[in-house]
Amino acid sequence: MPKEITLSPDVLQKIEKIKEVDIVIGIPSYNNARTIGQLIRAVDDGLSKYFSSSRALIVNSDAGSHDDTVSVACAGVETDPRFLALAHSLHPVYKIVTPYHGVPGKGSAFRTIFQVAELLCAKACAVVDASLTSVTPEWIERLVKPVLVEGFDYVSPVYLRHKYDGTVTNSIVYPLTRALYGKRLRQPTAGDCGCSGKLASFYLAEELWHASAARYGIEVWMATAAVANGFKVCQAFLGAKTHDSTALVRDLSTMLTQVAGTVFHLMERHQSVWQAVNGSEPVPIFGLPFEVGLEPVDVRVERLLSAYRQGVRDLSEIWKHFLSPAVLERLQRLSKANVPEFRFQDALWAKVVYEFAAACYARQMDRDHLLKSLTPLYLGRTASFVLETQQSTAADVENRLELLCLEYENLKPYLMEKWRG
Amino acid sequence: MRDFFEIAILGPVRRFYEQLVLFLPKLLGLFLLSFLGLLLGWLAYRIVRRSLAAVNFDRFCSHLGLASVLEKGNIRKPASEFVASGIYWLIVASFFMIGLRTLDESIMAGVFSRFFSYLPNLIVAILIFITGFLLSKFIARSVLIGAVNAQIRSAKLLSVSVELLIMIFTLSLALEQLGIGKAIIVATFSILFGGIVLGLAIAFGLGGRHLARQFLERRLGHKTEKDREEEERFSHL
Repeated sequence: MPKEITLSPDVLQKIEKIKEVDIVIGIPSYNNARTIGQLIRAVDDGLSKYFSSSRALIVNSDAGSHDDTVSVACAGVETDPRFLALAHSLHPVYKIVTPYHGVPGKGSAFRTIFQVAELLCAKACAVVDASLTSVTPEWIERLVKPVLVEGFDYVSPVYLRHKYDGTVTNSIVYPLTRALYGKRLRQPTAGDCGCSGKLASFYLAEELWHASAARYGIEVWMATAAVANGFKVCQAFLGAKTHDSTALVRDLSTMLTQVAGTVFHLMERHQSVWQAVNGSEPVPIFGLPFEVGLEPVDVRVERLLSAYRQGVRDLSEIWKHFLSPAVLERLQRLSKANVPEFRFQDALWAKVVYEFAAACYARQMDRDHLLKSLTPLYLGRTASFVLETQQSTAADVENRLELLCLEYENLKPYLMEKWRG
Repeated sequence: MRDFFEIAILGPVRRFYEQLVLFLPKLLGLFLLSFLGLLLGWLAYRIVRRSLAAVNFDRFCSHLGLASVLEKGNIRKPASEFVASGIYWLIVASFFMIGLRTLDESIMAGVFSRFFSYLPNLIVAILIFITGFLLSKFIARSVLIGAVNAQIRSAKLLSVSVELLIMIFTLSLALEQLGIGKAIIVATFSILFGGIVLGLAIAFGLGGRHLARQFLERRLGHKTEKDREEEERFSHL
């Protein structure tokens, strides 16, 4: 299938002038005026500090921000003395600010960035989210170096996060993708990643860019596509990850539907791959993990539990259409447990996720209804996890997650059985 | 004596015979058409059942809740059989009506034309009912899941109310299509629907001022006190 070019003529003209670069750093943005200036400076610093002999290009792909994101992005580089210094160097850092076209969402930004990388024959490409406030020059080194020096195709980030941060990733996406594809990629939902020019071209040739995955789950799709298609993958330790608080997604149910929906959709697409995989193997990590201070997190367990109990009370009628009677019965029994004894067992949770995935595949109900009805169960599982790990350190929690992942792997035959109906 | 025999016996017998000769082909036509109706009905029944089985219609109906509605109506047949039976009887009845018309054109013509002019209304009413039923189930489920996820305590009540409202509206439309009690149905529906909306508006305005305020604040993109209170301080992704 011929690749569709979505870049505007003036961007193509700029690219023609630049001709070729070694590295493309993409920054998708939407209303990030507060953070983008600082981010571009960090990227600039990273490029000049670690890749001073390489030709680089920073691409800010903006989704039509209503604030001053674009002007801050442009001004940031013009006024930054570091940039001025770079402009006189032998291998200048170019910069393009382009609105992206097509499907609104992050996927279109990635597509724009990959197109630029392909047209400029870039050897390596990295993408960092414009809402992040924790990006340092070292991020650029760690995302790009494994591609340029070690020959990896995909670099997935590993962050240092609070033990209760990223619960969707920890309880669904990471254990599920690990059990399915056999690679221990810790953050498959992360938007900050590095990839080779070859992989960028592979992504561009995929028929995904008009699908829902391009709108909502581009990060998971990229990680999964790299693993499922046999590209060389590794991880880079990036330290803490902090967002601009205004950029966080507020509707949990919608987010969960989008992320879980994308993972389940990819299961259908790559079923021949994952059905042949047994167990999992570690993925190499670049960068030494270091301790950073993390803000304490306040989780109101009672609220999560009340959401779970209400879900069991009101949605059991819906779940009975696709959950097995044994699982449903255990969920109902669990809803009667008091706070201290409330434990959503790993095996039960893995079975719930597998049965939801199989029901999605079998089209047992409207997909949106099915996925949204997972929310109370997820909140119940999160409550149980919080209760269980209240006194645990981050390392203990990581060990606890390892047990969950093993449970997912052990129960893979259960998924196969449900998948085949 | 011979005239008497001719007038009293032979005449009526001849007339009966003549009428019988005229009637028998019509009767035969009725039987033939009825038989053809039975045959075509049976064929249609088989085709419809197999087609519906091929597309997993029964499972689809079970998920939509149609099967449980049939069960509640003491119909133990699967939904596919129910639909196929409906089509079977429609074909049989249609052919029987055509057959009856052959018996006596003058009497049956009126019945025949009324039956066939009413038939489209019946089909449209059935379609309205099925569409409304499916829509009510779908929307009620959306409302239920949305309300549970928003942790609205009376989520089920809200969902049942929405389903009931849509079904009342659907039934009114279907009955109006059938021409049954038009004026009464329109009046009943207007009173019922208007009453519910007015009731809800008053309840929302008086009892739910805070909820209304929160709703408007959220629509305008402001964070409410409750939002700030309930906002989790960790990222799920």
